Amino acid sequence: MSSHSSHGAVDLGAVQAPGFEAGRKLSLVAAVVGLAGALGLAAVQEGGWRHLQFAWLFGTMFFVTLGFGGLFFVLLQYITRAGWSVVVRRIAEHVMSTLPMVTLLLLPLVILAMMGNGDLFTWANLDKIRDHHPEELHLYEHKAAYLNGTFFLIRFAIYVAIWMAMARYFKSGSLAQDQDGDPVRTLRMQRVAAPCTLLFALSITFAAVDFMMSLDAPWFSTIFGVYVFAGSFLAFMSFLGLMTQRFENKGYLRGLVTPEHYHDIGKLMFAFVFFWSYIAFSQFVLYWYADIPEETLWFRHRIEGPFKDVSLVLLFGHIFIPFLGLLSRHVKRNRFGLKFWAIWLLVMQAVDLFWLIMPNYDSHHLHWPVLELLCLLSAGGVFTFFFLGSAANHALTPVKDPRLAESLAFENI
Amino acid sequence: MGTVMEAPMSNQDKAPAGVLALFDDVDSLLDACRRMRDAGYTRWEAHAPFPVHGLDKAAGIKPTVLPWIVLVCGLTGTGCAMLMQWWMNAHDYKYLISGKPFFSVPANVPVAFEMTILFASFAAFFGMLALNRFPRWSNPLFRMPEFRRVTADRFAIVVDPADPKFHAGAAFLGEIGAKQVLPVPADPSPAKFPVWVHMVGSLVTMAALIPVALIIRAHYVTSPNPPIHVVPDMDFQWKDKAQTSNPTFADGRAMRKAVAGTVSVDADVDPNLLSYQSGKSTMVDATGTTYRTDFPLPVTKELLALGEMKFGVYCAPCHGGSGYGDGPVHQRAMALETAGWIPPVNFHAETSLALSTGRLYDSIVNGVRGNMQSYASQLPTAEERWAVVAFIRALQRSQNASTSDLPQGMQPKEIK
Repeated sequence: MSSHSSHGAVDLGAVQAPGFEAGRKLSLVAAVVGLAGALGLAAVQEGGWRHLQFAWLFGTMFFVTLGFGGLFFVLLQYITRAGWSVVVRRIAEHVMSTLPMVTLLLLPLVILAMMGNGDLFTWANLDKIRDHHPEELHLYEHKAAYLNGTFFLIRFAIYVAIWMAMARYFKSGSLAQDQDGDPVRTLRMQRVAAPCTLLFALSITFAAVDFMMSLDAPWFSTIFGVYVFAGSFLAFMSFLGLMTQRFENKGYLRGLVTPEHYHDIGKLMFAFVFFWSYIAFSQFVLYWYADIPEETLWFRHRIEGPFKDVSLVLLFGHIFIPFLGLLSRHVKRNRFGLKFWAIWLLVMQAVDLFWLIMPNYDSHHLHWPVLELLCLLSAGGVFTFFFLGSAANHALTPVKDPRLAESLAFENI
Repeated sequence: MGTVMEAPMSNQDKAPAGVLALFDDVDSLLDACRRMRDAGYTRWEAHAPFPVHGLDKAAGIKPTVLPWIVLVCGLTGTGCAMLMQWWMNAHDYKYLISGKPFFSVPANVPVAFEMTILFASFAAFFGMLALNRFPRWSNPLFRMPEFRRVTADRFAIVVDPADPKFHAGAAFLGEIGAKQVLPVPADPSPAKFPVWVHMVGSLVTMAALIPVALIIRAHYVTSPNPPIHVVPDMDFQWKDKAQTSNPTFADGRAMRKAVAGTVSVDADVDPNLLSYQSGKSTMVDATGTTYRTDFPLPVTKELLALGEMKFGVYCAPCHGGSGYGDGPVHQRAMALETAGWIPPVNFHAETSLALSTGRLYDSIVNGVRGNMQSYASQLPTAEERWAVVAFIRALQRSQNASTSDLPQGMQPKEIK
């Protein structure tokens, strides 16, 4: 059996990342161009400022959910004492460390809600509800103790603080181990990972409720947080597969990552295609069966009218087609196969967020999502800037992790 | 080549069940496996005390066909589940549940999911056993004391006599590094089951038939005793069932109407559609109430299709699919000889044909004094209610048509 003394086997040239200066510059340009384009388009479009708020939320949430996935992946590897994933864990640590920064992109929306602007978060302006939907007013008033600007800002600050603390703790611990190779760090992080997972689950559930479910304030779904989590982790696993291949194509991680690791990434993608489907259908079927008006209204906006097509895209594109596509082990171990489904599922995550957020803007019209894509570009630029910034000048693999040898020798039966 | 063990006396006449070669370490096993594979051996097996990475490849084991078996069985499970639910709910015993269609895919998904998993896991488990040719009642290898160490610190290759190169196997194994090569003595255990196993098996089978027989008997025999209630508080719930009375309320009805002024989320607020007591043309019925006789909506194919669907869901259970008042609820009440049962209205009776459109609408909204309750909440919009009225009119026309209803030029000629 393999011994645990082969740390020195790693070729440091294959793991030491350069500064990524060009990539970081390019991503800043993308962020600025996207933002300028979005602002310009919103200025000329009628009702554009309201549209921009929704599109901004959509674009940012895509990368926030990627961060959720990265954070959870790191916690999961420590809590399960996973061996296979060590060679790719560093990429997850970098994704995780973008989470607080990308979340801060939502701050303007929070401030607008605090100032009583009900364009995006209708609960922020009860006077408008009183004028336009007096029959719903009592539902809003009932929830006002939770859904109000001040408390929203407090919760937002708590989320950012929690995620920043967790991301910093696990990333700095892992980087410090690169220097001293102290296995006690791993043991300590394993212990901390368990309570952190609880905190993670609570924080992303509340965040999902705050930023996406509360767009339709009278509606409620107790499974919503799990739904968002399932999509987040699926999107992150797809991103991890893509990013690992990208680094490998650039000459990093060569000889460290094998088809065995891609196979495991593919297995998690496949599992979460199914988990997402299970959760999405569970949410749907309970409301469908009970058929209670205030519960079904949310789904009516999405399965009657133009968003029916988006729902069908999700049904086939997010459930049936990738399920069959990722079923075979040969696809998961094939570079092109994994890349294809990773891109496919990332697109589906965007469609899913579009489906969650945009019907609250206008469920009667489906337009070309130009503004949404500009916002996605802008938030993506910010995400990439911090991702590459975090990755720069560190080893792309935890070179002195006590389980590195296990990961290098990993083989699926 | 190592020492050859003498076969036990009892089965000297039988051919050996194979050749066993023992190795000291995992590397020489892997090496031997590669050479066996390259030499073209096909019917042989490697044994190790722990899972060895890369052994499949070294032994040239092709990917198993099991995943395909699992996939096919899983899909069969999905198909069976859909077929079963269609047959039960939409064909053999049509039973309305919360106004859903008889065959509705969302309701069928959970069962289809479970059946898919069940079939697939059975296929995986039993398919694995079958592909490994299990269960086997005895294995000659387990009778060899040398083989026991394969569960601790030895590695082995066993060649099956069915291998075309079996005759050269023993010598070849010695060449490729086996520390010991032994013939596997043929299995001395009898191929047939002992008689007592047959006896016990038959007895157990017969005993297992007793509950089945009792269930079949219960199906045909009546009993004067009341049924056994295993969970009485579920069978007798502290609630009022539909269509029963409750003296707490002034009108004695257990089913309560919606609070006055309740407006459905989807309610059509066009007052012209709601006021069935005033229209362009009206009539006064026997009770002295005025009802409209005209129809406030344009009658289109879509409206009639909506009416047909809603009629099928809410009206047909009592009034029957053709409107003769002979729906399954009525037939059941007749079969049970329910006391005080008021038969549902036959829409083709002369009194029904004379009912105004407004009166039909009123019946849907407020119910009828007999035992029909209000269907206002089931048919929340005025459009749905008028659609049902239109469909009743179409039904009446279909059963009471005259030759003058035929299009011009298609009237039958008078028979002389």
